[in-house]
Amino acid sequence: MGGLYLQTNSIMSYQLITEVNNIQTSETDWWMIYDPVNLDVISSPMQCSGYASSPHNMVIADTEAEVLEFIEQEGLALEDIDHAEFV
Amino acid sequence: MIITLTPPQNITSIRCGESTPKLGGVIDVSDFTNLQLLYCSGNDLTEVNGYADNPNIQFLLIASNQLSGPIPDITGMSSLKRFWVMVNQFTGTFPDISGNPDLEVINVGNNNLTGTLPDISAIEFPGSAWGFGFPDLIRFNVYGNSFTGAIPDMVNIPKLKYLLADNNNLTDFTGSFPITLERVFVNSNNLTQTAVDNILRALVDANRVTNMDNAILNIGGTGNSAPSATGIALRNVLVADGWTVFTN
Repeated sequence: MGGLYLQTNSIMSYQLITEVNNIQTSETDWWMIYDPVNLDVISSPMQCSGYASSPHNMVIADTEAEVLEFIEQEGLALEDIDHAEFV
Repeated sequence: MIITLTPPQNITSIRCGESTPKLGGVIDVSDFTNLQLLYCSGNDLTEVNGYADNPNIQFLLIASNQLSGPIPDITGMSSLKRFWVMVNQFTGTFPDISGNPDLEVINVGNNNLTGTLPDISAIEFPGSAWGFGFPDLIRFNVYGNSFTGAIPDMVNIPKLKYLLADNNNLTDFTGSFPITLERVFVNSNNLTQTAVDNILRALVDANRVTNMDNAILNIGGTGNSAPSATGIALRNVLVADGWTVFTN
């Protein structure tokens, strides 16, 4: 798998994928897509099985908390413009 | 507690705000005949009455309460632009929106609604400049219910930007999408392979190739079919154009 970066430490474990070409996720995985240039979260953390292809980066983790911690750690902008909108 | 505002016909905006404990019970706004905006989300209201026949209300936000029963008949709300009733316990079918030509946002997500979705492109507004459909609708959010049947054709929804119909029991799609569409969540339904391919085809035909930063299609998840070989080729076209695509 190209562009895969796996980080594991005592606080959290996640996969950071920089070449998102048909990346498979299971029903139990938590994942999100973000723009590494603008630091915007493109797809909020979700559980959904399937195959992802994207020009952006992808993070896969075991728990939502791990994904959210990545977002906070990297200073990404998480604005739910989809399911929690009020605009 | 009874709060009396006098004279109610002079009131055009009501915002419930937030409190601890949350505001519960019943609100009746039938005396506020010139009300244009009602924002009462994130409380524990069990009923909001008296709004559904008000032709002046443009913005109705009563999301995240404890509202139940059918969504009222809103066909008399002729000025309605934004209708947010998500995250409640509403039952019954999708509301009749044939009296709401100015709709910009409709969000009925995360309720307990059933039945089929209306063919919104075929809803006619006699005497209007456009005839059919909703010229100003940008958001069609129906996620997290139990809707069955087809995702509506969006041929007469020229400004649609958000289509969130995930986590239902939808099976079919035939039709087209506007070039404005950029957020498409139809994951976790029961979409057939033909429907999956048709959605991919409709997005390719819409030919959105600029302002792609937020463009995403999620058609994966439990229940949906995988695309055919033709569908995979269409998916690859979308990805090459800058879409983020998630399939089975």
